Amino acid sequence: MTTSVLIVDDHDLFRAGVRGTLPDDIEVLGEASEVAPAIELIIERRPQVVLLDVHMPDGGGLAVLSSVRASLGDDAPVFLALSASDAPDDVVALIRAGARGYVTKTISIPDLAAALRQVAAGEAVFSPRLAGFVLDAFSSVEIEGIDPELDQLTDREREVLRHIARGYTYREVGEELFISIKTVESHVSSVLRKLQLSNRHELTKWAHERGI
Amino acid sequence: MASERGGIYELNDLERTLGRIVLGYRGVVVTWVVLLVLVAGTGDAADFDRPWVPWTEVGVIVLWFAFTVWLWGRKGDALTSWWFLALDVSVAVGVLLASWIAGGQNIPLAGGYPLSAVAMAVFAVGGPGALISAGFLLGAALVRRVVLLSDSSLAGLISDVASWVFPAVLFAWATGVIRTSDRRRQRSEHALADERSERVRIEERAEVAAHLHDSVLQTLALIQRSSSDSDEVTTLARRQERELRSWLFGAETLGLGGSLVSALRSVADGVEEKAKVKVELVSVGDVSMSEAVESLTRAAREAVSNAAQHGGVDVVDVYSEVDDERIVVFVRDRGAGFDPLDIPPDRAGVRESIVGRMQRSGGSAVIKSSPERGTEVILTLPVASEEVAIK
Repeated sequence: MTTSVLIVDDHDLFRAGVRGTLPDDIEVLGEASEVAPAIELIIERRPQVVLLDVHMPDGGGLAVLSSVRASLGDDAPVFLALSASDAPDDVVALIRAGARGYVTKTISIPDLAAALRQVAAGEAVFSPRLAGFVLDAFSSVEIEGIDPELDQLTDREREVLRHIARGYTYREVGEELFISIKTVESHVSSVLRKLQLSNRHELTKWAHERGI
Repeated sequence: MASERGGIYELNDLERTLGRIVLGYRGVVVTWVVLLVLVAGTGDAADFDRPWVPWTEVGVIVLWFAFTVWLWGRKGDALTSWWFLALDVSVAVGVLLASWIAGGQNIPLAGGYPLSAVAMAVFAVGGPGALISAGFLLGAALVRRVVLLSDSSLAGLISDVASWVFPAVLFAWATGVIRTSDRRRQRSEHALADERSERVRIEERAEVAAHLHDSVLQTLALIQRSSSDSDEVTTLARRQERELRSWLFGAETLGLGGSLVSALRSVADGVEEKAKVKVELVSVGDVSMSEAVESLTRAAREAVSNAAQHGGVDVVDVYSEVDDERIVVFVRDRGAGFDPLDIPPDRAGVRESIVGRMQRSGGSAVIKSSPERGTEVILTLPVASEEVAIK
């Protein structure tokens, strides 16, 4: 089963490098380097996954993601965010807007392929860096208006994220915590859901600054 | 400095205390003699042939006491000289025989004064002084008993001998015990201080060794590996020279930055540049720099360099986490792994630069390694009061 992908990145060399080296089961339907053409191309070609650069001129990945989801609604592809730099607010804003995962540009090609397959299959993809961002966002204590269902991570979720931040794969996290890989995935999905739905101060502040 | 101040300040604490006790006792007995003279040496009951003698006695001992106190304050060591001791014993003998000289039969005019001369001698020259002055006073007492009182009974003689020799021996023994134990205490304090400075020296040496291992030995290893590439060798050598110079002569300028995360960032950049691997740094929370945090950073750098060099990997994951109680840094690679118990003794890296360094800073290091799972080094440091959490 192949996974169809569209690459949105303003860095020509990166696009070419990824496209040329991805394994055969990943089909690249097209690529775009600017926001407006990217939106048109996604709506036209309907890939399963959009590999989306966070930082681009004219609103960046967030503008692409918001427009596409606004036009296609539930039929929109899944988005895997990608960036070279470390601005956590940009990344978290993209996740809150609906991206299913985040990887850094230093990721190896096999790992990138695995991440693309994973998001296509509906899983969340947490790079160590995203795990760190999320732990950070949920770490500061807030007494008022806490919704424990949404605004706090469970100890188990926190433990899973800490292992991911340490560089463990889902499989290794499962072995380390004596749980199945499915359980690890469900913890991660739950964290992603909380991240998207929580009204925590830090998260709303980011969202507000990004105009969500 | 001490010699300029003079007097009691030339003496140590114990000698000053002993001197004060002896002088205090002397003050009490002088008062006693003055009262004796006022009560017994005057009035109807006093039937002295030479009534000026009691008054002279009072005058002499009061002046002598004043002189002694003055001497004590100005030239403390004069109290230990033989001339002073001879004069002091002479005064005491005079006091002992005062009522005989005055011609007043058995009216006591001595009080406890003569015994204070024995105490003074013990203080000044120890046991021998005590026996000599007690001998003089005993002689005077015997002369008084036999000649003045015409009492040559054995009981009287024994009583005199006992009342002079026993106190002398007792004083000398007690002072000797106190002085000996004080000397022993001082010796053990010196030994303790020596031991402490020795330990500091050893720790400093270990710190220097660890630093040299991290910097110079690591670079030499890299040079050996890339000895065919002369440009690379030159670059490595130049960088090492710069680093070593700044460590030796400048303020500690390893570019460690002002916080844990910025320091770890420098470490990651440094290793990436040197060893050509990707260091993936993830941080949750941050703290300001302190000595302990700096040691933690150095241990982390050692762990990252090791992973980059020996792990045979492209990526090293570093995760740092700060909460209210502790700072934890995880360094992980998926490389070859090794047995932590199987490190050769000459490889100081893990033992000294990581484990030893963390222990010296009050933290700990745990190393998990296996061929299948690679290596993870876990460095933990309790948060100290001088470290400020950075939000």
